[in-house]
Amino acid sequence: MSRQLRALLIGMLGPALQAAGAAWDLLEHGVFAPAGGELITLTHIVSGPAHLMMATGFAVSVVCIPIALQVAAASPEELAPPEEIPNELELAGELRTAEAAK
Amino acid sequence: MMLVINPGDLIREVGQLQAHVHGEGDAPPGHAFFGAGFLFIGSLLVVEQLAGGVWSRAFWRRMLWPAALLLLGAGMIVVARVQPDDKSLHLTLAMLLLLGAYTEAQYRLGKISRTAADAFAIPALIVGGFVIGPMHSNGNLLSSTMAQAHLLVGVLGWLLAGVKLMRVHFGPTLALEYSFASGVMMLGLSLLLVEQFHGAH
Repeated sequence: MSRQLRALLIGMLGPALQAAGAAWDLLEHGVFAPAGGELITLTHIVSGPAHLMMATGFAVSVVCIPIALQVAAASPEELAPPEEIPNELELAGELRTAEAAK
Repeated sequence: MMLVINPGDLIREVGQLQAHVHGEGDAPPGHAFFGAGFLFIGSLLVVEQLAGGVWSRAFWRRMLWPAALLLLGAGMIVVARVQPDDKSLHLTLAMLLLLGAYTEAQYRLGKISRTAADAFAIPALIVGGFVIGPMHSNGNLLSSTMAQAHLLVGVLGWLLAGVKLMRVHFGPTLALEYSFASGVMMLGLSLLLVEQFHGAH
């Protein structure tokens, strides 16, 4: 996958979630409860699933847009998937093996 | 054969589904906040795979996954404290999330191997799936949308355990990493769906 495509996907994930949340909200108020304006309370605004999805999309954008810029400027080596994080015991074992080989 | 659907009838049928409505004195809506939390961290797990080594440049980004589990576990303790019912189920989920945060943090700090972290994660996902699915569904699975939505969350927990098991068997592959990350996103979406049909919980 090219770095431009990776950067585009990273940058668009948050806005895509926001768009899905907006569509959900329109569906809810347009289809599920078209005449339910009186049911819109503060609790509904704060905890409505569609509203929280839009908020999540915004938070994802805040974290991801700087990463998208870094990815767009990164070299292919930097974009390689990170290897398993070696744990301290394995590292100590490798060190002992290397010392024994000397 | 031709299938004819009248849009008016379809909209009327869909309109019979429950709207997300809270009444006076209802309990706080926990599922939606947990759903948003899992959707957020699942999205970031997907981005972690897309960004490769760039993601690990910042230490705080590497620790986001265990931090999110810690926060969700602490939130679940609050739910167990506030909710009058299902205290033991909520406490079980809280313990699983907190222990998961600990093992994932240990892995990301290089203290334990991925296999050791998965040795906790796999049974935790299976048990968590039972707790939030069949045990917590609170209704007839055949007739209650809310019970079915709860079961969906449980099934997603089991699917995530399956992905982890495949990772242990086949080793790490990009397909499995993306599957786990998008599975966590789906878990978040399913919890948002539970809230949609739950109204109050």
